[in-house]
Amino acid sequence: MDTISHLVLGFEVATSLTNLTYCFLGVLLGTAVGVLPGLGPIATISMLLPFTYGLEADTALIMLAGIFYGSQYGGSTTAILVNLPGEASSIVTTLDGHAMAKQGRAGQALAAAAVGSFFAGTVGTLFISLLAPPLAVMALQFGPAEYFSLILLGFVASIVLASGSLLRAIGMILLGLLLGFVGVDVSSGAARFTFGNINLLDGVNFVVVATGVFGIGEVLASLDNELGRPAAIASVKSKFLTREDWRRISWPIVRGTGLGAVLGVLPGAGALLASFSSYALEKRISPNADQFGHGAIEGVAAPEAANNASAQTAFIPTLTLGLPGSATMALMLGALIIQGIQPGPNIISEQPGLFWGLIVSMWIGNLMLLVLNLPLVGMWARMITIPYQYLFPVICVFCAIGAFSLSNNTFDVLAMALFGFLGYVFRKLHLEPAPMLLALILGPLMEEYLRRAMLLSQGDPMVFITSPTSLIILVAAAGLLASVLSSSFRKVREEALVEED
Amino acid sequence: MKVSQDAASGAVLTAIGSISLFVASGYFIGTARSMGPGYAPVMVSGLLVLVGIALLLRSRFVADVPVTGLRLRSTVMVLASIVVFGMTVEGLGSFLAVLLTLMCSAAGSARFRFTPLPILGAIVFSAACAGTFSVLLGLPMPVIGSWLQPLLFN
Repeated sequence: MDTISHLVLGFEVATSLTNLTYCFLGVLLGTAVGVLPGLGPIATISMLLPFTYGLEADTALIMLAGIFYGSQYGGSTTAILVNLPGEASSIVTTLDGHAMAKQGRAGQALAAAAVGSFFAGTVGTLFISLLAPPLAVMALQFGPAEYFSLILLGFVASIVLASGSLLRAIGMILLGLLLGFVGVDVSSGAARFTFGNINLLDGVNFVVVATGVFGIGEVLASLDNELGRPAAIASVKSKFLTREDWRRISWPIVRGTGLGAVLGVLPGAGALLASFSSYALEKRISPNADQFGHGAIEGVAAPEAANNASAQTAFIPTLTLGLPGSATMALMLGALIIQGIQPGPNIISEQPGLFWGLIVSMWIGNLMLLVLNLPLVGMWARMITIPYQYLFPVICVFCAIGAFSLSNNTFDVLAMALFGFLGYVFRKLHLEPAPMLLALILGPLMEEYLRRAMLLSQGDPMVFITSPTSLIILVAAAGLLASVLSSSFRKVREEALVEED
Repeated sequence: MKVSQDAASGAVLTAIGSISLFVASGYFIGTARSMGPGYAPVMVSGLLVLVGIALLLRSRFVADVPVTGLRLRSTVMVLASIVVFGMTVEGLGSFLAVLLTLMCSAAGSARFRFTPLPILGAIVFSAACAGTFSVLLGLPMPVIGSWLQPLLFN
């Protein structure tokens, strides 16, 4: 069978000594940044991106992917032990995970999260290997109108998932699009918004924006309340799940995995939506519904499985369509492009080693994470206690080196400082920057697809509705937007997103 | 006076939208069939102005969280540390630039004290950075920069 020979090829690539080493480095770093509140995968991946130029494309991708899904693991550790979501997607885990920790069952919560995540990672890997090839074939039929609608769907999803007001999130998308216009327009050759500065002709580099807004901006925001009381860390006693625990978490993990795998494929949906809809589902159907919020182990296992499954399957649209669903995936896409590889429907046939190697490495990485997280949880717990005044100067240094090494240019470093300030102001105004980053990266593509679609249709905007695929996508986007305005979804959304800063 | 987050974001977005609308209106717009470089920017800036105005209007009618002030010390020191890095990395070299960035940003913390152990740590970390990035990874930033080389090697 094809799938098997592909996975064998993937195994050969992923188990080379170099790739194994970088995979390990990636998940190790990922766990670390996931554990540390105030340093997320977006800042880390963008800081490290310039240093992967010298690596082979598959090695670079394997490491960056490891940082991404490793941070999902690490985030749950902090969520359970300190009641702080290390990652946005582990907000839900704080609800029951920390309640369990307060009852002295922190170890069981961690084990449930790890088992759920590992199972989900395994299924997610299989899911990609089965679904990505047919999707790539389908994507070959997509024209500019379909791509334009897909990007729009991604924007709508990221607006829906942004915390706080929808209007502000829309504003941030538009701001990102504007930033994307800066530089030479590809079709006319006209310089736009460059204000006569030659450094801006190539556009605003997304790494500069990401390290500035998410790295430096986050540092400034954290320094705002640095004199707050240090968090208390729950201690871990036994990590063994009882037979009763296993019985309670098995089906929630399976359901969470299924839900997460499907939601991960949707552009813009991502880990956050997966984890909270899986929590909502379990709360509705569980026989122990009354325990939710007071330490129900299902409430930890299911959303953790869901967020890990979606973290894996989020690679499907990124790799096969070239359309990242989230800001983190957009960075992965950027990494591929820097390596000279154009993601899209042809990537599976043109770069089989890269594609299948990456997929298999994610499974191997998940196995490493299981080992890294369960026995070593004490080490990670100690990392949470590193005082922030020692941590943030180091973050500043890495951001500065990262920005400088993009093109050995002082301009990029100064621009990053500016975006750091903007990132701080955005947080003050409760303007969420993730949609802006997504729009900055996808904006130029979107404009190009719009142009081409309108050229083909002779200026008739109906083309977006007359193409059935495009129509379905637009209806999905409209449905998503409408669902936010409905009161019940709004309540879940507010509950899940309220603590996101 | 307390400014709500809605009012402040509305004002910022309206201002950015208006400026870019003004700039973009100078570009060739074209038609829907054949879009010029100004077509999409004008649309996006126009929408941004609308969103900004909507936020401003909402702030008049819906109570919202007030904006808290920026913390001056950390903001200035952290941003200055980045600027210092950018200005000195080629001249002073990676070791000193990293050390300066560390010290400058650390001074932004309210817990900052001049004590020997953290300073020693900073020196070790700077040396490790210079070793990793300049020597091992071979990034084009010298360990000892162009300003210092004449002093040392003359």
